[in-house]
Amino acid sequence: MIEIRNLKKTYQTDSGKIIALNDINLSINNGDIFGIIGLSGAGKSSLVRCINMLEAPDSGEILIKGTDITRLKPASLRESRKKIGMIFQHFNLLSNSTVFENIAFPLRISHLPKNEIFQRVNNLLELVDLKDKAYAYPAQLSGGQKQRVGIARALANNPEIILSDEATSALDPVTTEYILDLLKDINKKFGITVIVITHEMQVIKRLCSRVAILENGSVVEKGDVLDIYANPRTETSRSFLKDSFSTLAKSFFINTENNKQRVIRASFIGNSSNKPVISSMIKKCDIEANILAGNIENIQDTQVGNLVIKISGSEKSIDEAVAFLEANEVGIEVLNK
Amino acid sequence: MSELQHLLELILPSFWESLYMVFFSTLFSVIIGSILGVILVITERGHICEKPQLNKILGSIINIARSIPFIILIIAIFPLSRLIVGTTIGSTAAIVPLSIAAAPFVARVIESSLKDVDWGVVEASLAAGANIPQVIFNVLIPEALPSIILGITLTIINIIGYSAMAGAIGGGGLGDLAIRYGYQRFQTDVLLATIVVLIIVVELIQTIGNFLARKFNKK
Ligand SMILES: Nc1ncnc2c1ncn2[C@@H]1O[C@H](COP(=O)(O)OP(=O)(O)OP(=O)(O)O)[C@@H](O)[C@H]1O
Ligand SMILES: [Mg+2]
Repeated sequence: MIEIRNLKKTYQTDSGKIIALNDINLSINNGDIFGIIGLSGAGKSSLVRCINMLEAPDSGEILIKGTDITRLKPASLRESRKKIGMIFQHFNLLSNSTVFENIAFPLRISHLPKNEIFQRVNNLLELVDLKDKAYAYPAQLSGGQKQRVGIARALANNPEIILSDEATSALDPVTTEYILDLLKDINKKFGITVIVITHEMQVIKRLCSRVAILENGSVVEKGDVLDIYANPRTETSRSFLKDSFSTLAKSFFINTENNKQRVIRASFIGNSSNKPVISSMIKKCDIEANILAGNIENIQDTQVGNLVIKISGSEKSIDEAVAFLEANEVGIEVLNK
Repeated sequence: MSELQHLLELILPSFWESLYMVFFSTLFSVIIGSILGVILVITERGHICEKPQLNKILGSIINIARSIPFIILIIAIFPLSRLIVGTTIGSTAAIVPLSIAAAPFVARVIESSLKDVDWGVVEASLAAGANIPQVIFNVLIPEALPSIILGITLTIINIIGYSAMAGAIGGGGLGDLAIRYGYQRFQTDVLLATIVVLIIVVELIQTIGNFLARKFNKK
């Protein structure tokens, strides 16, 4: 539904040209929650801001339902923007307007009749559970409440797409979970395509079905979150996956400084978690396996098991064992060699 | 008692004249100045209606207008005053130079108030599909309102000062009274009374301005 082709964006600054986006190609399906993750300065905001043309790209196309939004005249661009809601890290609410007025803003500028605005805003207040705050001002709200206002405002015009730029980065962990769940609900309930920008893997794991990893203005990896989780192909994606568990696993390095032993992280997703893969491996290959640590994570409502296993044996049989695991859809990350 | 009454009788008509001058000068200068101030802001580089050329020219004109001493402006503007109100003396005639002198000041006041509006809020409204007038009237002005009110308060007080000067060359009002009685006839009581009235008026206006600014500020 959203097709980004050969997108380029540079900024002109006093100290020269900054290439923020370098030949980005992405397609985002209808109804998906699509994640864009990357380190600070990778170009995430630039990318998402091109999608509603808050930034104009230098070249490339952004097709939304077949229409290239980069080529629209100002009036048609404004109409298109009404179908693309946006949520911001710092909420960006009108500070001198009430919660009600903030949510009504997109409807007022669309010249909706008063009674319809009233009806719609009240429904939205209910959706984000802020009925009792309708006539409060933003300064009187907590961060999580402000973001709920931001979400309600983004939903006001019944958008087809929601862009979320670090929507939870200014919030505490509990509030973050609430907001992420709200976004997920909205996606399910209304079938809205959600594009989520973040630098936190946790957000991607919880929310997204597909993800693109951005580094220095380029997409270095993209695909299903589960696939990338199981088989990270680039250093960047690996560094994002390095959660507390991987760090823990690294502590087993010290004892394994020879090639008769190998420590791996094995991830069991969906199918592979139902099979007795480890015991088959031990039977089949001439190795010994020692389980050092394990955990279970929830990604996208799928259980993912992680084991840190020390495999001992000849180099050849260790290779065989790893190949066997891979053949059984177990994700492998070698923690030492 | 009768002396006080005499003073009052003397001051009241001048007071109304001053009020008349200040009210209309404020009205016109705020209208002209706001338009210029808004244009100054939105035509700036990176803003919602980028026009660097126009922005530069307008900025220069405003700076030039602000650097002309008021007394010279009044005289220079005599022909224009005659054209607009048919005369060059009296309170009505003084409104023309007063408005023209205060308008560039208002423009800068409005400009700095609008520039203080959080750019993120402007972007949020653009993302929601707002057009330029909608951003100006539904975002920039309401968000800047408290600081605009304080700016206009400052403008009114400045105009009161200027209107006293206008009085000196036939504009009428309290300034005129102070000069005719206090300076030319050495009636110190009249001079003092006008000063007291001016102090009270300025104090009152500042208080009301502060109150309104606080009332509209929800931050
Ligand atoms: N308006 C701008 N003018 C000049 N350079 C900019 C501008 N906006 C972004 N950049 C530069 O473009 C690059 C990408 O910035 P961008 O904001 O897209 O990164 P990001 O991935 O969103 O980072 P963060 O996680 O810190 O928000 C950075 O090098 C940044 O300095
Ligand atoms: Mg960013």
